[in-house]
Amino acid sequence: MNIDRWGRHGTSARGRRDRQGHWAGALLAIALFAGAGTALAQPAAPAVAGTRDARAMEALTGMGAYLRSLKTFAVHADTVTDEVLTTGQKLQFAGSVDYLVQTPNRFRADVRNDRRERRFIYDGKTVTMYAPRMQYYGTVAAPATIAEALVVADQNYGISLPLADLFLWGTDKAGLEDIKEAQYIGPAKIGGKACDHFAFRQEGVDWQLWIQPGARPLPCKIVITTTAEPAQPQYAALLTWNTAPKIDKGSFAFVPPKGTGKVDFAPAAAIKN
Amino acid sequence: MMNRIHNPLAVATAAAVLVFATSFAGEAQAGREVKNNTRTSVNKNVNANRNVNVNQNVNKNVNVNANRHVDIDVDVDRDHRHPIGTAVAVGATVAVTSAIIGSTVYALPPACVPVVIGNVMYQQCGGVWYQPQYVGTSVQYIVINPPR
Repeated sequence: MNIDRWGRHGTSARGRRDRQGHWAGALLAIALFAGAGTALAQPAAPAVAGTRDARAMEALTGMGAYLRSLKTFAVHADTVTDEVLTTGQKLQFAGSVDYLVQTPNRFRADVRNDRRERRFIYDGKTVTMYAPRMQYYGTVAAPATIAEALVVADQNYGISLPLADLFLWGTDKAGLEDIKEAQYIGPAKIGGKACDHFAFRQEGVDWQLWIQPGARPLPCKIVITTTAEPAQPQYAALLTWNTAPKIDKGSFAFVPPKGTGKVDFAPAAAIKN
Repeated sequence: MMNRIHNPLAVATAAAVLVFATSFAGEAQAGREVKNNTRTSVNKNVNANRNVNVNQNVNKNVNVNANRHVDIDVDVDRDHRHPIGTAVAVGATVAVTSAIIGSTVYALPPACVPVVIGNVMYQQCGGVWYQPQYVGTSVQYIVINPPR
């Protein structure tokens, strides 16, 4: 709506410039700029398409900074994932994700659902993916930080770790510039705990985030709606945090159990084709 | 270990699933193909939209090796653009001699034996050998010449 309004002003500005020259045009531009500033500064305005509510963006930034301040953490997620059949029918699969993390360069992730079980281990040098039911494992070289390793895993091998955002928020790769709309929805209860509910839109996904208020702004829940897909499947994760997990020497080491065998990864290029 | 079935009910279920999967063969697995587009993170750097919505069978690949392993890989196998005919042929028939070296399937025929040679995993299914491969977080199988 704002853009429409500004668009009409823009047409008008061009008309005046024609009559009165650049000086008047410049004055008008200043007036418009001031007007826009006033509009954005209005508190508690209802969310308007195309706007990024400052409170929502600040909450995201604050949560990111807090996440990056954690040296170790464990997070358990109860997940629900829609899968879309080619007929358009949606199926829902329950699952879980368990991350054990030691920054900047160790994590273990156990990702389970009704159909699939995978363990990922990153030790600062390699990422290993282990399929316990089939007893397969594969290992690839990885860069020196968790965030970089996640990017390489996805872009080189097509391995998308769920909830990878948890490692990118609060970094320069957070992707905040991709957010087109942001709004604060209101207070909420997640698992009996008070959390603030925010909603965001960007290309390909609408997403919602619930954040614990106060000095430890951890995400309570995330829901991602894939709008690029006509059936709009959703992924929902309810998060339980432990910021003082027990970590031992073997936590981030993969020792292939007896009977397991190595398999190779296809390059991501092969997946795209 | 998750890979052994201990109770008879589970074995019966596994067998039923196998029959179900086989009955689909030749029907182009109507309604069983799954798209792979549900995003599990927001950041496009770690969850690129690859649009790989082709022939993704809800793969009831149950490798029941009599009294050995029961590899219950019931992945929603996020398979990527391999000829569906190959999978149907392998799933439907016992004409395994027709398996083409280098072709790719996302489900093994029944009664395969996992064989580890020099740390590398293979699957021997009758006279045909398969090498598993990770494709993203999915598994596919390439028909290979016998490694030994």
